[in-house]
Amino acid sequence: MTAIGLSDVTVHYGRTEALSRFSLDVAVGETVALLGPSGSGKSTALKAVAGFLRPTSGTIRLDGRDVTALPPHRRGVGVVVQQYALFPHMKVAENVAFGLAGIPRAQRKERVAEVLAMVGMSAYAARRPRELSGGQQQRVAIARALANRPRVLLLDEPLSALDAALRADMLGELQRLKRELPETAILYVTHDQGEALALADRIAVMKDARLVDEAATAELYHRPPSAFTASFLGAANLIPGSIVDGRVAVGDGAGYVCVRPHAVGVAAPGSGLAATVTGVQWRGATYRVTLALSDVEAEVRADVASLDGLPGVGEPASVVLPATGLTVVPRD
Amino acid sequence: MLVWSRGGRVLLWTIFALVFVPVVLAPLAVLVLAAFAADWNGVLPGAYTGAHFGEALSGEEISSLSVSLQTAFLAGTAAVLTGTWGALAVRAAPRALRRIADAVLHLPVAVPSVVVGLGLLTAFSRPPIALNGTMWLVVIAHFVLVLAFAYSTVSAALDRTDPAFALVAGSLGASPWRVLWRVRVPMLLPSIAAAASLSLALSMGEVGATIMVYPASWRPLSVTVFTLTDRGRVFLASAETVVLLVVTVVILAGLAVATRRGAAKQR
Repeated sequence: MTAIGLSDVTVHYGRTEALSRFSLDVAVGETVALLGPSGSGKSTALKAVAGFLRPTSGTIRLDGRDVTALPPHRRGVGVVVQQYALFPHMKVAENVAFGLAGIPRAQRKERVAEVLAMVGMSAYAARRPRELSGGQQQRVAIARALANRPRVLLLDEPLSALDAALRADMLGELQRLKRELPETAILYVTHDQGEALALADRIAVMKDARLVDEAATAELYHRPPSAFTASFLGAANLIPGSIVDGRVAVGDGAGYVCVRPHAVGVAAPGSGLAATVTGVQWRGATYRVTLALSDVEAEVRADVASLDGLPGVGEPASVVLPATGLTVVPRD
Repeated sequence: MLVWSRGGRVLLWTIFALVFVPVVLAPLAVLVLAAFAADWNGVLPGAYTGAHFGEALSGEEISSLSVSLQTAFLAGTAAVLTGTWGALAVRAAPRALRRIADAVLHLPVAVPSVVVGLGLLTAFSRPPIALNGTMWLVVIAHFVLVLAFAYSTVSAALDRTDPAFALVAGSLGASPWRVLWRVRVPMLLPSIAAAASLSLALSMGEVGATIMVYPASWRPLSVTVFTLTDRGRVFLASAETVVLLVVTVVILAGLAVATRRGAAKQR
């Protein structure tokens, strides 16, 4: 059963095409991440589903109902925006109760308590939004969006305003919420591949107002269909070449051999592809070694646990590619 | 502080004082002295009296103050309501109409008050709408003159407000009316209060247009001050001015306190 259906949706801002013939289905209970760099149209797609803007053409369906021409208040979707947009003149409980205007008072109170408990904010019901930290505001915004049990939840970069440690916490919270809401379809807009990998059942990669690739999360990560997806999702190295009889033939063919930095090995010259070390960055758990290949113009990034016995910056080295798990993507 | 050196700061304050004292402070001080002066032939008044204030706060003079307050209240309320509506409505209009409406609502800033006065006088002095000789001409003149200021105050605040608030409120199932009354207007209250203060202050001091349209039965205090000065009754005029100043400042301070309380509640 399709909860959210976009078909051939095109959106213009003035003369700029912000979304171009975009089609995507999200099933009931499914979480789909819209992943892409800024300006790729992912937020525009979310706003079109929420009814915050009107598409130039195309159809938007919610639970099979055509809502393309309906205003936001007739769509019944929960939305959490980047800056949360908590109403500053209302207390936390009033914010959460805002969407429950139609139900009796006692029930409303009960439901507010229920969703605030769900996000762990029961103790803050009487506070004003300004008295809350970013993470707490985020939780209230989610509680408010979930209050009237929407079948569709739209999250627009919900973690981007938080610092790194809080972001990891909230990501865990969102995973828990997702398990607690098995009937809710979630459309999750982000530019962060980590969030998409952790939360999404499927990922739709976007670029320049268009859908580039769309597949189940693991599938898209392990077998990216395009060079853009390979580099955006998991920052894969793209080495011009092909795979012949299970071996990498560098510089050969019309594709890129795609390999993740953590799968690349670095060794003394002579044991793999000839290269020169161009830089080393310490990242705590690993070192990120960048190398320039000698036979073909390409930069390779490798994450290694230790620098012991490895050539230094400016010295010749060799890049060791794994025997399995390599994919070839066509050049753009 | 942008100026770091001690010498620089002293110089700045000196320049400020040299401009501020003779231009703003000295005339005000003279006004207050004159309001209490029984006679004034030397550098300072020869003798002091409270009689001018007694006169200023009685009979015809006090009713003139009441006229000023009523005019400011009527014109200010109408201007704030219209200005707020205009600021909200302009944003919902199509782009081309939006530009025109914005320009029209800003126009009275550029039109001299004398032109407004003369315009109203010629437009409404004959049927079908003959308002000549009524208080309404004064109120309308003030309304026209303060509307642009009220509009731009609210409009500027709306420009700074993230449209996401109204959009999210809508997605929570609230109709556009409910979004307006429960979210958009409450969030604009501080700027609406600022617009009210500005309208009131401008209206209390307006002379240019008022003097052309006021009937004998509806003479605001600003005009009374003007005519008293014209007749050479400078001391009484000074007392009236001080009354006008004090009343205006007290009302504005009251509005400011109320606004701050309201804003503190939101925090």
